[in-house]
Amino acid sequence: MNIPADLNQPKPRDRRGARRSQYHWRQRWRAWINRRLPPAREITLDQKSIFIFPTGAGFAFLGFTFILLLVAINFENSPVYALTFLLVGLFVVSILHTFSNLSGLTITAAHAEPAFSGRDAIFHIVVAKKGARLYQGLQFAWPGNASVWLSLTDKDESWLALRYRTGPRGYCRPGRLKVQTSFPLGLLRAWTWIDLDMQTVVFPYPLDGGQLPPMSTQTHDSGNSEQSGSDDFYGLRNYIPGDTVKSIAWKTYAKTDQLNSKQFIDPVDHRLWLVWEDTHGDEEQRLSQLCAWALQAERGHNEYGLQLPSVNIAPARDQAHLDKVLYALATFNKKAPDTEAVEANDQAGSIDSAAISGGGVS
Amino acid sequence: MSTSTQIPRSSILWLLLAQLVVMVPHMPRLSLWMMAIWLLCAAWRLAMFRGQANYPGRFIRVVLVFLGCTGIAIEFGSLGSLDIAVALLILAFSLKLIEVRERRDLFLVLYLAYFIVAAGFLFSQSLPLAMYQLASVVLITTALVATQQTQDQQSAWRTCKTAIKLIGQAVPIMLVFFIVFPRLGPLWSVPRSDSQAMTGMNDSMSPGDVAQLSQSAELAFRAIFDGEIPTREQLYWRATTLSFFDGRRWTNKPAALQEYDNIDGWHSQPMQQHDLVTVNPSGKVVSYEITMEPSEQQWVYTLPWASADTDKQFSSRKFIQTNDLALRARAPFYERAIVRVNSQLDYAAEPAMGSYRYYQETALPTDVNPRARQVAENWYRRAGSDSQYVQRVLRHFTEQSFYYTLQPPKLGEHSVDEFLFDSRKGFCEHYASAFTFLMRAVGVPARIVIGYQGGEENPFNRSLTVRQFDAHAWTEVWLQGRGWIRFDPTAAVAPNRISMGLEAALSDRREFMSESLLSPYKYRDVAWLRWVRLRLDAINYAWYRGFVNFDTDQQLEVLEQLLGEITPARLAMAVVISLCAVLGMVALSLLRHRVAPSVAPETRLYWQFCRRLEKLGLHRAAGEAPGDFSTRVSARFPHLAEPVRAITGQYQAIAYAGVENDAALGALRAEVKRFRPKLR
Repeated sequence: MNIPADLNQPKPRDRRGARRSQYHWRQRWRAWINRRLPPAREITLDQKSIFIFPTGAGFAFLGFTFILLLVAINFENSPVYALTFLLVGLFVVSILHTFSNLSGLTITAAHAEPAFSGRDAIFHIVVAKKGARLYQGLQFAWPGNASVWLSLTDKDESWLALRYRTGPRGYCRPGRLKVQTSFPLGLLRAWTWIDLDMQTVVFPYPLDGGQLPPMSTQTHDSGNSEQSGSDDFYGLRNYIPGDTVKSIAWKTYAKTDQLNSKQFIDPVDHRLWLVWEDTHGDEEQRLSQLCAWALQAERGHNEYGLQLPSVNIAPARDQAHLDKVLYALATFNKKAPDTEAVEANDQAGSIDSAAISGGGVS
Repeated sequence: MSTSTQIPRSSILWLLLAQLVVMVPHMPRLSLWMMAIWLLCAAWRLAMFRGQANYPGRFIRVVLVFLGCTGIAIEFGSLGSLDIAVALLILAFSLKLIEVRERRDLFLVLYLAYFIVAAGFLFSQSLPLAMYQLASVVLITTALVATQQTQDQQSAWRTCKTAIKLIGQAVPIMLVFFIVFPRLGPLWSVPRSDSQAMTGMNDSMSPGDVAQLSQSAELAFRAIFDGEIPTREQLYWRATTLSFFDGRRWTNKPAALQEYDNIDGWHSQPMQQHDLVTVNPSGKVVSYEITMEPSEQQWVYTLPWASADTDKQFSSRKFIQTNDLALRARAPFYERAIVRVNSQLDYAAEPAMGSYRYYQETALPTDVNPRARQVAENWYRRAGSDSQYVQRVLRHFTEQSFYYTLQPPKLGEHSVDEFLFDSRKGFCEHYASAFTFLMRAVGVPARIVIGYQGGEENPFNRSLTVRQFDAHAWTEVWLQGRGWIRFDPTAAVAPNRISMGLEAALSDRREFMSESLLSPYKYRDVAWLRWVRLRLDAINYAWYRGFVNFDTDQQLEVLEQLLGEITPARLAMAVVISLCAVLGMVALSLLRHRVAPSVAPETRLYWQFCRRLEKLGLHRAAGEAPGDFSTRVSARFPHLAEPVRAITGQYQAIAYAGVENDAALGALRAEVKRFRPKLR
């Protein structure tokens, strides 16, 4: 049952060249755990998925109980014998309690928030229980990241936002989520490694790219890029209360008895193009620069588009557009790990953070 | 990661509470300054808890440790190492408090707390203490549970309840281990706690000794007889005999041997001549069990002629029968011990006496008590025989106005003379001493026997409780051909002493337990008080007999009762089965919580409503909304439309619209109850 728990964790870079055998064992461990606990968006923990082993404190407790037993034997003292055996009983009983503090929990993948490279991506999961049992002192953590503590006592389910420190740009799968608990006594640790099949993207780190490129003078065929202006007549539309009296097409009103407003557009193209060729450095540096530009442009007043060697995104300016651009930058020249996951990832983007409840990050 | 090692705040409060509770039983052994150190540390910790202070610096910690250790060295230097060990434990326990930063430190302090609880049991094993310590263990465990909780768990009762539940489930496992775990002897010698000065029998007697003992209600021993309890007149519990008199003090061995603790006189040596005691084979034998309280002496208080029943004794304790008919353990009783004894009440001791023995039992200092000698010689000359002389002396005690008192006047050099002819006020040792002197003065062998007389029968467990105030001194006179015969001059003066006990016998009852005003023994006449006292005493006895003194003998007894026959296979099976049963029940109770889904009462009522409609052939489809179902029912049976709509509406209001009050639920309940749908 004792699983070398940290095998799944990314090792520091200087140990990357560790022995082949370690790599071999890691592969075998992955294969084994994938067979035993295959990835799923919703996992209910049971005997098959829960491992349990005494903690350091548990071993210390046993050692200490042994000393107590020696005291009882040497002083031939019945109450000390009883206390010793009571503590042994506590240890034995807490095996069951610790185990059942994980068993029966249902953990569901909700959605993931993307992040800029090196920042924390946030994965939202739902932890739910059934029935009257209480679950306390649960810890959730991605390998190598801080744990989030949770108790399910007063409500049956809770949302959790789990942070994951991202690496380089691209698709991001955080690996197996460690769920563990030492409740009630801290003598034993029950844990599991579950793969919730969660994925997000990591945007390039926004490198300060200096000034935005100048406004483009390119003309574009798309018709939705016009902005209302006052110079050139464009057409008529129904009158909306609030339109100026000056803009009302009185002639048409005389003919048809219908109030219409005249529409004008500005002839100047204020659209901004973020272009691969305008940047310098290697691929990652260029993407970082484009990323910074996109963020800057979103804060500005003009529509912006993106031109990458293989991607072309028409200019626009809103949150959804920014997400689209950033997503394109993140996945440029990266292969999706699997299509299913990419679809799931479509929800990734702007998230109403007010909707996330429960599980404060501690 | 810091989050995984940080301590939940509530666990600090639980820890402080547990520490306080754990230390209370040790208070008598701790001095004020140690409590002050703990208070200081606790106050500091509380200040840290409130964010008003930071962790103390290294300098302060070093100073505290140094002060604490020096204090312990000064204060406990002269005492036993057990006291030092406990003091150090508590010091470490207190000081660690201001150092607790991580969960690991917290564990250490809590484990130490368990240890301090155990240390308390080395000093006392009484039932109230054990109950108190059980509460301490609950508190420590609660603190342990609190370390594993998240910060949002504020319900102290829930934390405590978890601990109580855990302990409750651990108790059966404890019992299994407690019963089957082999009781090994000590693996190495350990320091004993420094016992307070023991009250109890000594191997010498000066005037006033027994009277002093009679001020104490402390338990001396308990006896449980296999059959009927013998009459009070037979209950002369022998400790030892005193045959050597120096004019004031009676002792067990001659003056020449008195400075050698490890050399016994003839009286206390193992009996080796087989003709020393002849037992009447058809005489009465009584079997009983003595529970000795720690006396620091070797005697077992028995009815003569007693032998230890070794058939039922597996313990290593060995007993010897001495020349003066006492039963003696090889080692002093430092702990409570159970001894099974058989007594042959019909015997003749030392029917023939050699000249040296005769000299020993008649020797007296020549220059004391001249008046008594003279009177004795007069009486003896007129008596004619030894036994008539004994009667003459006893008659003197009966006829003259002797006064039985715990507070006799001080006696001078010729103590027997002054007592017999002047003061005539004395306690049992005065009577025994004077009587023996009068015997020996005319060459009749006589000696003093000390021990206890009588005892209180507890109707709740048929045990006989003998306390220090039952201490007594009487005499034995050697008569030619009959051996040593017991005479009790106190019985001649105060017959109630034997038949009813000390309090009844005292001429002035206010003397009884005069030094302890609140002792329940002072108020024996108050019936309910007596009932409570005896009941408590019976519980206490059961506690010591069944639990505290659970040794190899008792273990075998219990196992035999449970298993019939003790074989390793049976034992192993019993352990495995009982443990599995316990764990299975625990697992079941944990599982049961999960399976039973909590159905809201309104849903239950709605289901009941649906079942009634099923009788009409209307089944609510899986997933059909109550509203749709109601419409469907109304369309099919228009006459039912009104109640169905009402019930559905009420149900929806409670279940979905969040109308939460008892009145709404009550209305729904009434409505459903009234709803008896019929086909028109």
